[in-house]
Amino acid sequence: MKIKYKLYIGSLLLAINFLFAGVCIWRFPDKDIQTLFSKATGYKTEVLTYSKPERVKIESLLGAKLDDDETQFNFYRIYKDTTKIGLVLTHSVKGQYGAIEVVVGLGSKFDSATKSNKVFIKNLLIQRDREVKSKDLRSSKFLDQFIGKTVKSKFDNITLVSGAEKSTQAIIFSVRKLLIVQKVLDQERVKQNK
Amino acid sequence: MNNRYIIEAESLTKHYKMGSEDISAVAGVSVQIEQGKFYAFVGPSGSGKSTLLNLLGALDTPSAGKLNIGGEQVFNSETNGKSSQRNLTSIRRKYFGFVFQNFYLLPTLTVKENISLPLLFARKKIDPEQIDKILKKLGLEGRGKHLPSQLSGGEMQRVAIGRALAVNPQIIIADEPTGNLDSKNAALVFEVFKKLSEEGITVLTATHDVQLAQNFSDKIVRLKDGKIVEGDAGIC
Amino acid sequence: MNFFKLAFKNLLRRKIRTILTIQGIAIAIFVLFSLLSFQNGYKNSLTREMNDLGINILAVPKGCPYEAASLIVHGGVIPKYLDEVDLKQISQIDGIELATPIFLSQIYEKDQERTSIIYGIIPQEYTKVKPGWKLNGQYFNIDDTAAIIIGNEVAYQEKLGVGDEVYFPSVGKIYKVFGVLERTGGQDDGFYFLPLAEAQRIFDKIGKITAVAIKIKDLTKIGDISKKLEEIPDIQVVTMAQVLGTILNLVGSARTLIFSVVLIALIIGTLGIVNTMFVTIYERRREIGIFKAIGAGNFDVVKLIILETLIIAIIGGIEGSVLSFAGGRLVESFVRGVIPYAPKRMLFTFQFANVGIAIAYSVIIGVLAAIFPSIKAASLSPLETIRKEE
Repeated sequence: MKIKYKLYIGSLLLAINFLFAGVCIWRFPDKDIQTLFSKATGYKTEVLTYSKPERVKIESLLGAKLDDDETQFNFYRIYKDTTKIGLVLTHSVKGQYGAIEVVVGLGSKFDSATKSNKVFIKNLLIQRDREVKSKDLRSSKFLDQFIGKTVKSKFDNITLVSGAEKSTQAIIFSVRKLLIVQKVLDQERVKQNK
Repeated sequence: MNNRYIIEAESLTKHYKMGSEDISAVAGVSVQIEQGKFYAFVGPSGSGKSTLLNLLGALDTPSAGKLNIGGEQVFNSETNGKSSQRNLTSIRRKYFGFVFQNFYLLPTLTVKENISLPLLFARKKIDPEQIDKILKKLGLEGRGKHLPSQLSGGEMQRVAIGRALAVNPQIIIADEPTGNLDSKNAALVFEVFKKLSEEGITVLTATHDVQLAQNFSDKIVRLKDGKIVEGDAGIC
Repeated sequence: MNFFKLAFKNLLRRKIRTILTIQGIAIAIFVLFSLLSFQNGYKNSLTREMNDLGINILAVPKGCPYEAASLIVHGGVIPKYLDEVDLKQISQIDGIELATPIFLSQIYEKDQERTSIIYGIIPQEYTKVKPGWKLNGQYFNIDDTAAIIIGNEVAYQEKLGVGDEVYFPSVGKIYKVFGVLERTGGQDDGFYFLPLAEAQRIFDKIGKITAVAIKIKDLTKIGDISKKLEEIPDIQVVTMAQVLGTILNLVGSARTLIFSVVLIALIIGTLGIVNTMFVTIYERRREIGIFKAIGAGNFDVVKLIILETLIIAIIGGIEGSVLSFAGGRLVESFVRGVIPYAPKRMLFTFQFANVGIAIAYSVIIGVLAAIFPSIKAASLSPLETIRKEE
């Protein structure tokens, strides 16, 4: 096998390592972490998979199937020293001209109405895209509309980026999916454990 | 030379080297063999009868002397007419049939096949009728498909005679043909030879058994120390 | 009665020895046969494998044959190019089936840390050096300016399919995905393929060529062709042979080893036959004497013995061939274990021509083995052999 591998190299053509798993990875944590959580001191990666009923639940909440390669999700737990202060989730979604990779920073606060912790979007950014309207999609004018949204929020009040309507919808879908995944795989599991 | 004689030998000599010693197995023998007669060469072991028979049968090359077979000069030491191997082969093919003390049948071949073997070498067509005739003549009817191992010694020797007869030879050379046979079978073999000589085939045989020779052969030649001491074969 | 029957019956008389001799020959033939099959099979499958790989020789600008590759990976720019004159010169060399230009560059977007490797190709030619390619969708034409073909991994990463559009921000141009390559398992999976002229245009290198992929008609002539290529002043040659050099050397030495073993097996087999014939003839002196006494000539004796040997040799040859037919797979798995680089395809190919060669060999060996003993046998005087027992 090794020899064969060399053989390919030799055919000049450069061997490129594709280290892509099914999950979309967080590409620039060092840079992004400051944007998302200014007080953060570090993070830990936790890989979560879902059970069959959990998948069914995610899909029914989302109103769409999970992608075939979405067999696991990376939960990047954000710490300030030893205290957990938030969570980063990433997702790659089909945009208009290629994939858009969304990075969402989630925070939580106590909700006195439900007497439980409410998970909300603290901040979000786009780590990769091939969009013609990339600038608009990455603008805070657009992205700030997502701040504060929870899994129960409605997204129809988000102003679409003109000329990139399809991509805007894709980003909304992506964000919703991450919120639902967090709810099912994280929040509800914690509840059950209690 | 006279046509009455099928073989004429004059001062036939054969030397062997035995270590450093030179032994004359045959020492200047002159014989004239008449066609259609049954000759018995008798004498003790080492008397040279086998060697003489081999010379007369073109199986061996003489050291000196003259040898004519069927009027053809086979060997003449005076004119240096030494016969080549090939010539001997053709002479043998033309005139002789051989019978040996140990029969020398091929064990994997049937009686019929053994008998037809010389025809194969002579490149003659094998005529089954002729083979049957030979079997009948030798009292071997019904044995044609047997293998030598299924035969008695006497039968084997008769098969060997049959093999010698296959090419219709003018002369049969039989060196100690009865050496491995009991007296009854030995007599049977000699009877066959007598019958053959009556049909015009010349038979030359070497034997220890003087009694048998006297009973069946036409002429007896006694040898001692490579020389003829008494006999009916022309010049003594 | 005929000579053949006589010879055959003679052999039956010494059944065990005959059978053993036949086995000896059969094994020698089996080995010879396997070697021949291996020779053909190995060469064929290696050739085909190299053909599947497509490019036999790559002509690159002088001075950077290997660096070119690493530069691209690490985001540099290849400093040197070939041009159409070079391509023309290359194409004119005898024995070259196809010489197709490649323009290779990359787009690096710093903010996204994204490198897109762009291959400018002439699809109608390039597919010939990539016979393994399977495309969903269709190839673009040489003169298309907004068409792209993407590797399987690219399609997966960028969530692109046939009919989608892809945008290169730094180029500022949208390309329509004409086709997606099926997974090749190789580096092609990660490339974007553009029409040659379009690729040259976006990098502002019109008429420049990064490399020329060359496919040659007869792989055995790769050495000669590379030499001729190297005579062209601007270019440097990277041949598969260079890459495979080590492999081929290793295979070569393994093959030498196998050859030696085979040679020894053949010599032993041959000597075995000669020995058997000698022993047989020594044992059969008397019988040969009798044959001669009852009228067999020298030629008859020679003929008989050669015939016997031929029967043994032919039976052995046939048995050996059958054996190799049946045991080829066994040997194949053995050889695969021994040899350093084995192509995927069958190494052993059963060819009827080999049966002919194998049997011809055993016949020649048989005759050679028999000739001396038979002449010796024929030279025996009948009397000499008969007298021995007295």
